[in-house]
Amino acid sequence: MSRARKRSRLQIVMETLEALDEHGELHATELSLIVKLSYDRLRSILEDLNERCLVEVERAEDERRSLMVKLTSEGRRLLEELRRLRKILEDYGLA
Amino acid sequence: MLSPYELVVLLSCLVSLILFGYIAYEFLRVYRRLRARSLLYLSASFFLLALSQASSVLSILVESARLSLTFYTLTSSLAAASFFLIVVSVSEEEKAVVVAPIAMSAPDLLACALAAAASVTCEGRQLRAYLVALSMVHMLRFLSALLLHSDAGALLLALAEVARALATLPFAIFHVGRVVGRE
Repeated sequence: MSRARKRSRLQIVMETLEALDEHGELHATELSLIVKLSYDRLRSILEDLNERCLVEVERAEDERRSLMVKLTSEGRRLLEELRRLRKILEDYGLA
Repeated sequence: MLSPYELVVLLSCLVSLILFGYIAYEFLRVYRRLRARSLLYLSASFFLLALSQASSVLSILVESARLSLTFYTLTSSLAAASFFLIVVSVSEEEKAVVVAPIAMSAPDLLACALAAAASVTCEGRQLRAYLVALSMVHMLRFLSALLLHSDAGALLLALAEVARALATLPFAIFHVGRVVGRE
């Protein structure tokens, strides 16, 4: 029986940055569906990325409780570097 | 003058040293911005591989046969530390649990044997006693690392580490005392 391999935090972060790069600005709920992560877990990751100035998290203007997320230029630069390292990360099962 | 054989080995080690150093630096740069621990582990393992190549270069360049052998031994020890880090940081937890005690205990067995050998070849009685003590504590560390997953494994390992630290301290003080102290 094959077991689904648990994703590392690095994998989740990479998938999050990739999704934001592909879709532009996203609602946090949409993002959680794309990266297949619970809203709470995604939120804690987004808070961390926001503190590091890699993403920008803002309240949506129309819906007070919804969060809008977008990639910053620093986040895009980091994603480019992660893409360069991706093959090694994949070889070691980290991406 | 280096032989063609030494030149080939030296050049390939130097190129690997630069390449491993570059990869280690790249991972460290990304780690500093993302703080994902797996990136730090990979950076450290490539850095250790770079050091291993540096040690191999030194083993070729130094003229003394004894120093050369020392660097030769260090080459594989650094590579082993690097591979250990790779195994325990990127493997699934169950695999790391099996590999860790074996990888952790192996160097202690070698240290035990070499400290015992050094105690036979050295002259001073006090120095010999210190080396025998060090040999014994490395044997203790070897056994406790193997028993890591037993009920008292962690406690045994902690005791062995205290014993090693306590046995090493007088060994270090003894040597400094020989240099700066009064006879």
